[in-house]
Amino acid sequence: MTLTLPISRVALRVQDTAGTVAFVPKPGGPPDTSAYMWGGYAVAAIVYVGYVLVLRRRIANTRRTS
Amino acid sequence: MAMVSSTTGRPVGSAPDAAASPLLGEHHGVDLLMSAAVIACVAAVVRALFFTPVDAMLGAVQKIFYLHVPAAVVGLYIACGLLAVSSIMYLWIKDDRIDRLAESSAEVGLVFMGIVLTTGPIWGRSSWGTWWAWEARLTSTLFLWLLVLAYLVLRGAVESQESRARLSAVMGSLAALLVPFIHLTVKLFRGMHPEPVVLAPEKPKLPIEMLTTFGMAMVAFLLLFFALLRMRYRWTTMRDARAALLSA
Repeated sequence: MTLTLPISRVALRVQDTAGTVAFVPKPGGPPDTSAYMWGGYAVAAIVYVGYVLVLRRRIANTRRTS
Repeated sequence: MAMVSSTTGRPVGSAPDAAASPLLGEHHGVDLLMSAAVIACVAAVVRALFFTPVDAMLGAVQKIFYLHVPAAVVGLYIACGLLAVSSIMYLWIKDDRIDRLAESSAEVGLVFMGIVLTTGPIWGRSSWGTWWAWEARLTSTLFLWLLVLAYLVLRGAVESQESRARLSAVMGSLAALLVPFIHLTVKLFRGMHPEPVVLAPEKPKLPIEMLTTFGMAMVAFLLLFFALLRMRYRWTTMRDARAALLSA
């Protein structure tokens, strides 16, 4: 297939407004998905810190009752 | 007749000997392994968030890669591998310490797999447009998580120490059989989950900046895993010693 349009115009034409595909690159750069990034890191931090606290509490309880 | 562990010479279910196990002794002061793990994790996260380039297609959400993939490698391959090996070893030599190691690696592995199963959908919502897809990789990982959870529930449900250790060793070794299948799902089935980018048969498809951050994250997660495993093992040893003391 031969492209008959400049690449910049092709990029503009493939913008998906119906939301039928997962992602279409924007001409201005990557989408702003930083909220998802922060969400992922926050979840991981909460889980790991929470688990360490649970372990510390278990150890303290066992030590206290023995 | 009481069963005796072939390696320790102690009756199965007896109180662990504090002198024989350095992990049982009272632990005071700073946990150096945990401190090293925390420092490594903070360094890896700071590098990932602030000093690693943003992916040109996916944007900042791609940085979940530095949590998601190391957690998957550690949770599935290291923790479940350890669960399988220690379960099989327990069935062979019947050593209580190996049973405790299997229990500890299962629970810590469950936490790491939980991270995989929560960060994956967050990334997927942004990249795929959906939180969850019932495709082979995601579904089989969820299934493994549920199996490991069932393993821990089983341990809590059986009263007899010897029966508990034997039954859970069988279940643990069978559950871990799912890991090679999960690894191959992206090859065997058509799905949304991408194929490996780091452990690819050809050279890694990541630029060097991203690969360095990934390497740091891997080291940090490995340290964190072993620090948590050590902590969990210490508590299990204390708990069993206390239980044996109470029943004596």
